[in-house]
Amino acid sequence: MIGNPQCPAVIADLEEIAEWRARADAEFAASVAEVDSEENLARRHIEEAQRQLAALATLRAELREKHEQVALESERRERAAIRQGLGNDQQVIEARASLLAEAIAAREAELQAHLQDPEIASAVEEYEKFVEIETSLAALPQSYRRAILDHHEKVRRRLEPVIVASNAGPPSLGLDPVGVGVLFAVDAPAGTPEALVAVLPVPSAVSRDWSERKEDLCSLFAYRVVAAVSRLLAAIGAGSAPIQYSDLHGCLAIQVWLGDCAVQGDLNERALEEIGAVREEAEELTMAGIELYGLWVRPTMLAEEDGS
Amino acid sequence: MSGLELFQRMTIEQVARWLELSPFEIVRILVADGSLPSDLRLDSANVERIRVAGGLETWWEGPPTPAPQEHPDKALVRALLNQVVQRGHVRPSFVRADNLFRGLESEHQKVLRRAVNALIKEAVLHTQMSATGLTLALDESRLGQVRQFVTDGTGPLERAWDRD
Repeated sequence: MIGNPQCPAVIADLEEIAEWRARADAEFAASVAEVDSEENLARRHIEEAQRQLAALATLRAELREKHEQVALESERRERAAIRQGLGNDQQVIEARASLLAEAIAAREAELQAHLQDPEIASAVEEYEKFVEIETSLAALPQSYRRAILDHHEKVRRRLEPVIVASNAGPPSLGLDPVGVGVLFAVDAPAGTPEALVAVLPVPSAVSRDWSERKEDLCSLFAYRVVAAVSRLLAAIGAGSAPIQYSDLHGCLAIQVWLGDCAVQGDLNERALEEIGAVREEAEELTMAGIELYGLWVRPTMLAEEDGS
Repeated sequence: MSGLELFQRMTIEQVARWLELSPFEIVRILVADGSLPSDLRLDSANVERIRVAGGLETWWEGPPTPAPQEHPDKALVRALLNQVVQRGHVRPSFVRADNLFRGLESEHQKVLRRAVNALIKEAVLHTQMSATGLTLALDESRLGQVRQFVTDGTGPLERAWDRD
């Protein structure tokens, strides 16, 4: 119709509008196609990012799981180290117990030989007779009793060196000191304590089979720690707490129920002080070259391994 | 006694055997008493302190003679409860648990330990821990039943002591 002079002007206008509209539609379609393309690209990026996030979440979970294994492995290694330490310390104490027993036996054999000296043997015989009749002395007339006592005193003075030597402290083994540890654990580790355990690097037989074994350095070690634990309990207001003796990893364990006591004071610090006091006082441990230490561990460190 | 033992102070193990206590109980008693020697060697004074501070008593010189037709175990349990009553160990007067057995042969101790466990379960006897060991006392409300059983072996306790 363009160029047709009969056409009204409005038609030309409408045609122009239609062309404009067609151009605009085409531009719109092109722009939308571009946006769609961009959107698709963005969606692909998002999907890729989501895949990455999912992969990272999986990786994090795997790392956490692996780290939990590290924590479990660390605890397992700690438990094994503690058990190994107890075993090593027990070997040291038992070895030195044997050496100390030999040294004491040698010293006593020398003394025993000294007792064979006729003069000493005669005094020993008199001393022994006195011991036999000592309880019946009260029934004797005073003058007679006095004479016996005076004579006995003379015999005792003659034997004084033997008596002193017989009761001498333990001989020194002259060995390098070795540190050994008593392990303490309390449950619950924080808050009100309900149970205390002390694990000693000596065989539990010192308690269970005491009547069948000879008292030795292991026994004395146990007596010292039992005394320390008793003092500790008295100091924290738990003097009447029930105590049980049992076996843990082949070692003697002193278990105390604190659940019915109102514990006062610092249990941890006081326990270490008591062990320190034992280290100072126990001459037999010093002479055997045993240095005693106290060590607090988490109760789980003393637990048996699963399936072991 | 001969040789060096004549002059040596006693070990804790020797005293434990003598007093029929475990060595650890000896240590706990001496610590509670504040008289544990630093060299862990004991003399007669220490032993006396253990007896006194620990409340150690020897109740038996042998098992009792059963009444005619009476089972020896039942006679032993009656005699034990009689001693507990006679010595006034009714709550709150507690006595060392091992006093109940000291002086008896192990076979008789075994019978009594089993009976004491049964009587604890039946709440005829009550336990309480002390710094020097486990203690026991009769339940005051069961005293009549205990006396009846001690007198003629009858009453609710006739079978209670023999239950596991």
